[in-house]
Order: sequence, then structure tokens, then C-alpha cells
Amino acid sequence: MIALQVRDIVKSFDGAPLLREASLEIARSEIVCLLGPSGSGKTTLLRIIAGLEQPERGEIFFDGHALRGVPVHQRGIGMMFQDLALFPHQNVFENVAFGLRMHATRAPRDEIRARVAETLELVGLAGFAGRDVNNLSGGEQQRVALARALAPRPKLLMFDEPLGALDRILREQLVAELRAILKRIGMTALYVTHDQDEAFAIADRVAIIHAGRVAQIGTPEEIYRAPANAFVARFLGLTNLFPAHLRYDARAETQLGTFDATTPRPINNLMAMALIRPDRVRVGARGIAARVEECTFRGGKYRAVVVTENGARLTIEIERALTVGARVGLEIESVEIISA
Amino acid sequence: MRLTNALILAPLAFLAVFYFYPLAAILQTSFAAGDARGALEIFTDDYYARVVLFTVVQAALSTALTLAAALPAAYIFARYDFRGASTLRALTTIPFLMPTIVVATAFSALFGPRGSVNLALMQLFQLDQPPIQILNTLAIILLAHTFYNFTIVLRIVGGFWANLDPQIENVARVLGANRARAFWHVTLPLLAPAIIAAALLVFIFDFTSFGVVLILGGPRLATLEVEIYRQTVNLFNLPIAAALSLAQLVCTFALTIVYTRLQARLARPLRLRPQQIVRRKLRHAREKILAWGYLAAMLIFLMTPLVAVIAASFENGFGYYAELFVNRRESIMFVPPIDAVRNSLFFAGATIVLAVTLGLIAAYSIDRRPPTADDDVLSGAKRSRKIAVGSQWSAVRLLDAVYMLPLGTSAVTLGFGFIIALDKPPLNLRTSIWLVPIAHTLVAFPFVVRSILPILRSIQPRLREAAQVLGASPARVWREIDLPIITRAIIIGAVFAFTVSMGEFGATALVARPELPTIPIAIYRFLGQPGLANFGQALALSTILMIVSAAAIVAMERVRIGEIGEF
Repeated sequence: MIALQVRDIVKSFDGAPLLREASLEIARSEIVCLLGPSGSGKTTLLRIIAGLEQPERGEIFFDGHALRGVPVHQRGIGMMFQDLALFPHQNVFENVAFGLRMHATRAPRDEIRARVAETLELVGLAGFAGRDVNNLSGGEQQRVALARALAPRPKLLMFDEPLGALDRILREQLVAELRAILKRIGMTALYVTHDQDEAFAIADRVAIIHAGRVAQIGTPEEIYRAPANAFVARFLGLTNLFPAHLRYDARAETQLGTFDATTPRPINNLMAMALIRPDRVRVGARGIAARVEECTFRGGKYRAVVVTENGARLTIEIERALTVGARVGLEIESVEIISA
Repeated sequence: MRLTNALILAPLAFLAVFYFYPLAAILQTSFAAGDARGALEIFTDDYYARVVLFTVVQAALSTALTLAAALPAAYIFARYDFRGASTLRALTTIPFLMPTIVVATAFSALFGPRGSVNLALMQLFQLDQPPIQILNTLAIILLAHTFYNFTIVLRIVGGFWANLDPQIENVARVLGANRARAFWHVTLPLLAPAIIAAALLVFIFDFTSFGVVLILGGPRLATLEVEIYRQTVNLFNLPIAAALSLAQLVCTFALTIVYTRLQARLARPLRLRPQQIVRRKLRHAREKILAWGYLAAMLIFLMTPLVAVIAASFENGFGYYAELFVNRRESIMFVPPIDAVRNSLFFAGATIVLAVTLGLIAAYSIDRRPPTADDDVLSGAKRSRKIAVGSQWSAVRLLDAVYMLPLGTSAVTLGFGFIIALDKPPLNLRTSIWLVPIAHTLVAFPFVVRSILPILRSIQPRLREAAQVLGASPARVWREIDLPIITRAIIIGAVFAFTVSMGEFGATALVARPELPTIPIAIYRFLGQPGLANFGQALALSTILMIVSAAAIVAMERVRIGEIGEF
């Protein structure tokens, strides 16, 4: 069942378009991640959904009701900010209780107390209620911010790169924990990040945002298996992309030769891109002649950059090390054709 | 939204009517007189040239003396860690926050012919005449100014010095400079902007000094400020007073601009160190004797005048205090002197309300951050947005400067402007009891803005957004986020306004109605009358004023938040 529906949002800043008809749907209890480079407008889309910014065009619906004209504080949407924005003049308890106090004006004090305790326990901060938020560690502050956003039980919880400031190990641990918590309470969530690993770890579905639109949305696996276009492929780190001309016999002509190609999704343009995955290239004595330019050990496998005689540059993944400068032959096992 | 916009105009409207309009009146009066009195006369008559010269000379000498006295203190507090340092430093602030009239009374109580110093010396050496006769001379003015401004040098230079990385001086020593040369070639140039800024500020205060010179200087010595007062009140020569005010305005504005420029340069990127790393304990006996000897002398110099006032006020028990409650028929007060306390409290209350309300609105109207790059915006959009924010920012800076203007205007000039602008239609307030609190508000307003603004700017905009997202309406956001964070700053601003109003003398001397004297005015009237009883009552009122001011200072120190806040 669809919970949030974002339809054709347009927003520009001082004449420069930032979002061009961005659309998105989130099902109830689903975690969707907006993934895109910085400057792609993902934070702006989040702020528009929260009501902190107004779109120039487009509509947002929640459970079928349009949110246009509903002020921020009445939308019932929670948000965790990049810089956390914990209230420095309030302790942990007061921070977490804030949303509860705002929503239910006559909520009995005992009820608020119980809800705060329950939420703090959920995020692993039982016993922290009386602490000063300014004296907590980075990870603890993240948890307080999460508890504060969770406590009023919003219909939708949004995250704006909430783990950006943490180091990698702590971040990986928190992402896993965050997903577990959201799933346990069945929260509908929209999560913004520019980090692919983080997105894949937390999301049910990932929406890749490019040039003001959602370029592709799907499960992490769907997206990785069948990137919708060259931008998505590049963003996922698949950089072996070559302009391809699709012939009527379904073979593709490229700089590296002509190949039988698979097309993971329908292509409506004869000028497309050939994607060669790094693990689909075999190195031997025969095949396309190339020179090894770089070779580094990447834990378990080697990653090499090779350049063919006509200047095509490929990144490949292999079992054994290659000598830099050596001449090798490349056999390309499969080629996928995607939109340019 | 329209209501908010109208509110933002309130401080501007207040300044327009009670600041710019009187200034315009001064300008007009000084050039309006066609009969060769006024503007031209002060440039041709030797007498006024001497007044200007004396104003500059006494300010320069006072500044030099203050620097000489306070620089060693700045060094000791900056570089050494000793018990009681923070208490001692707090004590040095007290003279600065005392009303000028109290300082003047204190110095006459100490060095007058029947002052405690002379009495002690006469007894000690069996003299018939008081040996120290510095009342009505330049010497006592210089002493009082040094007493008053000591803490400015200590705070500005000491504060800067305390954060200066001592490693820099060590590097110079390693490179072969001896201690003296390292200080001369490395430390002193680094300190120079702080020293110059402190000197300039002290100079501005001395240049515009009124109460001290009026009372201690006697009839023969006058600064511009005192001369404006005398021309207005004693001679009723308004064109001359206006021309002198104009000269005074030009000087103080020029000095203030130079000071502001310098202060901006003070913020140059130096690697500053937290003070704990920089300070060390006093070690050798010589170091200890020098430091403690100096600190003891400093404490005696800064505390004796104040103690002398209190001691002298109790010379005959509570006699002088009892007299304050009596309304004598021949009294110069027309009312029991204690009424002055009531008047002062009423004016101070009104000043708090006016200054805090206007200051709060003004602070909100200029609560904009300098333009910074926004996170998730395309680079092109980022650039054009920066320009838009930039032009808004320069408007904010202009407004900020306008709000600070009254700070660079001397109190007597303000009061004089009131007299000539607000005593006739369209705005006749001559008999209004609001004239005094309005004048006090003008003086206190910049302080209030400056105590609230930094705290307001420290509130991250994300905090308000987070509160909104959590369900707080705009009004609720203000109550839950802004208010708790700025409450202390508001209290500090209110105490500032209170202290300013209680002690204000220059403007009040010109605008107060005769039957509604404030405490400083009552003290001044008593000091102007012969007789021990009158002097005793001046001492008693000074003691009361001193204690009230000290209580306010203590209250303020208790709520001050760390080192934020610009005063």
C-alpha cells in the first residue's frame, strides 16, 4: 500500500533548476533510500516533503491526502538532520520528550515519561535520560537524535545523511542497527545519502537521483544487476562504458569490436552504451591486445587497469597479479547494452 | 508577517526621533545664528581653542598613565597562574562599572582638604595644612581617569596576551634573541593592535569624560563636554553649545570609526592557545615579590577610593543617612533627598523595559549570518544565491552600524540635543517625565543589542527546523527554543540597562526636571553646596549608589554565559 507519493516536484534556486519533475513512491513500512552525488537535490526534496521548502510545481500526497498548504508542524513527518540539531539547552529526556509534548497537549506526564523510556531503550540508551546532550559521544548523540525523531511515532521518518560525521566502522554498525530498529517498529522511512554502501545496507529500495529526477528506483540488487543508464552504472562504480551502435541483428559495434550483447532492459535508441563488468574479462595470450598500466591487490582479488591498442581503458578484476607494462590478451565474456 | 515588519521598524523609528532628530537640531542651531555667534566663534576665539587643547592633552596624558599602570597587570594576569587571579581580575572591573559621580565623590573624599589621605598625613607629621592639594588640578583628573579605565587595558591587552602562543617567543630566543629583544621584536609587534585598540578606547572615554572633570576639575578646567554643559546651563548660550557639540560629535565619530577598524584587524588569524597551556606558576622569590607587590599596589589604588567613600559616609554613624529622609525648607532638593532613590529606581525600571524591548527587536532584525555556501545546491545556483544573500548581508551590516551609533556619541551631546530639539512643537517633551528614561535608553540600547546578538546568532537555524518538524508551531518554536537560549542574555542586557540608568550623569544633568532628581543629580547638587552636612549626604547617596551598582555587577557575573557576549 502506497504511503507517500511525490509527484513531479519542480524546484529551482535563483533560476537554476535543481529538481525537474522528481517523482517517488514509498509503500507503508518500506525503507527507501535517495542516493545521489552532492548537489543533486536530494536534501532539497526531503525539505520539500517536510514542508521546510515550497516546491514551484508538483504535489505530495500522504495516504492519498495532498500536503500542499499543511504547515511543517502539522504534517506528522519526522526528520533527522545531518547536523543532528539536538537542543543544547535540554537534556536527553527533554530532547526526546519534545515531540510528544508538542503533539499531545494534554498527554499525561506519566505517559510521556513511559514513552521516552521505551524509545531510549529501543535505541540502546536506557538510563541516559538525565544526561546533558552536550557531553555525549558522537554515536550517543546520533541515538538521541534518532530517539527524538522516533518518539512521536511519525507517519514517515526522514533521514538527511545522519551518519555523515561518523567514522566508517561506527557508521557501518549504526546503519545495521538503524535498519533493525526501523524494521522492528515497521516505520516508513526515506533516507538520504551519497554513500552507495550505506544506501545498499539500509534500503529496501534505492532511488538514484540524477539531474533533478529519479533516474532509477529498485532493490539494491535490481539496480546493480541492471543499471538503467550510464550515469547510474558510473555512480555504482561500473566504469567500463563504451559508446555502442546497436545493429539490426542485435549485435553491438564498439571501439573494442562487435559483440553479441544482452540488453537487461529495453533500449529505444540505437546509440547506446556497452557495459563490461570488471569480472567478465579474462586475461590470457589470445584476444584483444592490451598493455597493463596498473595492478593493485584488493583483498582476495587483484584490480588492474589495462589499455588496448586503440586506446580503450578497462578496469578488470583477476585472480593473479599482472606485471605493470606487460602485454596481455583480453577475452570479453559478456557485454550488456544500456542507455547512454 | 506584516506585523513583524512593522515591529522591526520600531528601533529605527526610536533612533530617528530621539537620536537623529536631536542631532539635526544641533547641526541647525550651530549654523543658524547669523550674528557671528556660533560655529565660527569657536574657531576664532582663543578660549575655545584652549578648551579643545585641554580636552586632547588631558585625554592623551590619562591614556598614557593608564597604559603605564595597567600593562604590567596585563602581563601578570596573562602569563602567571596564581591563587585568587580570577577574583582579583573581577575586582578591577568594579571601578569601571561605578557611576562617574561616585568616582568623583570618591576622589574628593580621598584627596580633598578634609579627605582621609590629608587627615592621616596631617596627624602623622603634625602638620597644620593639608599637604596634598590636588583638587581642581590636572593631577586628580588623571588619577581618576586611570582609576576608571585601568580594567579596559587589563582586559583587552591581557585577554589577547593570554592567548598568545609563548612558543613564538621561544622560537625567537632559540634563534639567538635575548629576552628583551625577543619581547621587543616579537611579542610587542604581536600585541601592538591590542594595545592600540585599548589605548584608543581609553582615549575616547577620557576625551568625553564629563562628571570627573566637572566635579574634580573645578571652575577653571573644562573639557569640551564640560564646556557644552556650562554654556547651556549657566550661560544659556545655545549656538556656542551647539557648535561645541558638533565639534565633539565629529571627534568622537572619527575616533569610533578608527577604533572599529582596528578591532576588525585584531581578529587577524593568529594561532591562539588555550590559556591553561600559556600560564605558569610564579617561581623564584624575586618573581613572587615583584608580582605580589605590584598586585597589592594595584588593589590599594583601585579599592581605597571606594572604601574611603563608605568609611567617610559613616563618620557620624548613620547621621548622614538619616538626614536623607528629612525635607528641610532651605534644602536645595525641595524634596527629601531619599526621593532621588525612588526617582532613579523608577527611571531605571522604565529604561529596562524600553531598552530591552527595542534591543530585542533590533537584535532579531540583524540576526543574519554571514553568507556561507549551502550544502545541497547546484554550484551555479549556489553562486547566484550567494550574491543575493550577500546584498542582504550588507544591509544587515549597515543596520548593525546604525544601532551602534549612540555608543559613539557623548552623553552631554545627547542631552543637549534633547534640550534644543524636544522642547518645542512638533515634539514638546520638556515637562515629560519620560525624557530621562528615553535618554537613558539611548545610552543603554547598543549595550543591550550587543549582549543579545551573539547569543541569538549562536542558535543554529536547524534547531528551529527540528522543533517545527517535531510539531512546534512558529510561536511555540520561539517559546521553546529561542527564549530559553536567550533568557540569560536578556537578563544581562537588562542589568546593563539598569546600571547605565542608575549611574548616568551627563545627559541627565541636562534633561532631568529640577523636582525629579536622580541619585547622581542629587549627589552633584550636594557636592556643589558648602558644608560638611551636604558633603556627608553626598557620601551617603554615593554609598547607596555604589552598593546598588555592585549588586547589579555581581548579579550579571552570575548569569554570564562563559566568554560569549561582547562586553
